[in-house]
Amino acid sequence: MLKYFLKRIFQVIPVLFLCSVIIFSLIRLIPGNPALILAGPDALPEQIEALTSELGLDKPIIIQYFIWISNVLMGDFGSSIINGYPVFKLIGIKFIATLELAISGLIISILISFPLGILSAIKRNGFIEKITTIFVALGQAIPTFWLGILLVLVFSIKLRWLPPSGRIEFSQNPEIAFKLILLPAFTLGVYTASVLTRFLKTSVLEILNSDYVMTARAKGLSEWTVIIRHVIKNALIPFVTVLGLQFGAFLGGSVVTESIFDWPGLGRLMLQSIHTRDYPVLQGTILVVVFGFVIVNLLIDLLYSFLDPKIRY
Amino acid sequence: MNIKIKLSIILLILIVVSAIFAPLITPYHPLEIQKGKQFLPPSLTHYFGTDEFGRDVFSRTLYAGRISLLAGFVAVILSAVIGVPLGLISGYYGKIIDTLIMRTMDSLLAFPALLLALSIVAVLGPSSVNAMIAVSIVSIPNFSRISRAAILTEKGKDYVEASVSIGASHKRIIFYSILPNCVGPILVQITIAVAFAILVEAALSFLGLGTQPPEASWGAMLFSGRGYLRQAWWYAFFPGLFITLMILTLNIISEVVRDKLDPTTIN
Repeated sequence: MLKYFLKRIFQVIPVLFLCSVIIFSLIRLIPGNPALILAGPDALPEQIEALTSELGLDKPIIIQYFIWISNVLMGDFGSSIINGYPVFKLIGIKFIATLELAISGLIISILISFPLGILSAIKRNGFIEKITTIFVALGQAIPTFWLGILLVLVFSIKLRWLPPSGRIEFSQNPEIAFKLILLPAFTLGVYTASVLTRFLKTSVLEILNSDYVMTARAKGLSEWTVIIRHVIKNALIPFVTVLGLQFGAFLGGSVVTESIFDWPGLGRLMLQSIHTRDYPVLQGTILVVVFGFVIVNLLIDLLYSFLDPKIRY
Repeated sequence: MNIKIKLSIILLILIVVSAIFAPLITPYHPLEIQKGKQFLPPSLTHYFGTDEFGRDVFSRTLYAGRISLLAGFVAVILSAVIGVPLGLISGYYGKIIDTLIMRTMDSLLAFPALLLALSIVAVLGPSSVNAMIAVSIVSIPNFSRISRAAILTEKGKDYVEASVSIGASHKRIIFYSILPNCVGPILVQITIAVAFAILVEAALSFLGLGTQPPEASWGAMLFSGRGYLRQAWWYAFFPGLFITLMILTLNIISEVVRDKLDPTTIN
């Protein structure tokens, strides 16, 4: 087990390294001298030259990469071209908003998929299964951005139940904060909910046909005891894994969702930095998000092998 | 074939045909600005209403379909043309070549898809062609992985050994002997990838990083329409409906193709 853990952790290092190289080169591929952008349009040639050597832009590209990555590893992501704010701090502030949204989206997707997935597998060919089939097909087809727009149209503009956009801290006013997060969380959670529902339904069906469920029934256990003690418990392990794997969809979806609902998180920060050509911010945000994604995937993988006694390496 | 699949195929053909023959079907030119006709609700003269410049949303939606569909198909063809040979070479030669190619693919896959596409567009600059390039780069790793897996199972078979023994070149063995036997999974991946490509292009355009006005793709129409939700719900509604129908039908069809080609699933 320990050997497997170490092996998986070592496998991640080259991937992280390559990712950082990709991110570094992507930003360097942008035409134009970064010093020129930093110095502004009115800068004198001497100023630009000074800035170029200060930023290390006159050094070979490989050296530049190592300067950048060692700074990054020490928590120095540079500072924003637009307002001079340290990128690391900026990401820290926005990260909380994105995390809040991601967790709420996760909760919503569990609240939808858990009952739908299990009930539709238990009561086949019923009303719930029909609803589930439609939900799964639609949930995977409706683009996040259109769903968000529809929700705003219905719940904010027509019914006036919920505010269309913005975010405040839960500590300030829990009721308004809750109302504000409801639509974005739902928008973000629906796709994942449909994936999870489909997955949970298949695995519950599989378990219901297995020998140990037959044994449990033959013992004379009531149907609900069988379902809770044997079926749900065993369906949970793969469920957790798929949930973890959906983290990437959350990160991608959060860019779109945050843009619709003016949610001040990492996704919107990234989009703003693209529009304002604020490359240090862009570079830092992508790096944090991608590293976070890789590490979460690794943790899920390790957790899975730990939880499931059938897997022995 | 059940009713669901028939309906999907009919709907898909309708959308594609209406996009291709948009100039023959649409009652107005997509860029025709009509003064005093801003934000008219859907009616018999304007089926999907009009936008902030009095342009006909129905005509624009059909024309937008041309860009969205073209972007989707071109991106997928591009990524298949690059991704499949990479995967085949990787699986055929193995060792260092395999490690180099597949580690690179792994790190591309380590990016959430939309983020990678966003970053690429950030570098290239926002436009519909650049969005297409970004989408195709994002789709490459899946094609490589699938064709690599396919060639690994084919490589050990007798017909490959026969080709080797009659002295065929590696190129000939990979592309003439083995590739035709790997077409199944690649075909399934193409149907999945088209839906994905249309979706990502739409997302990029929706964020203002894809197709630029006055040109319209479905995503770009949503981008402008979301600013007028209070005045004109139809502006953002219809393009989104078209994207959803497109993805829905492609998803259903790709599932059928997969079941047909996979001998382990029995209907």
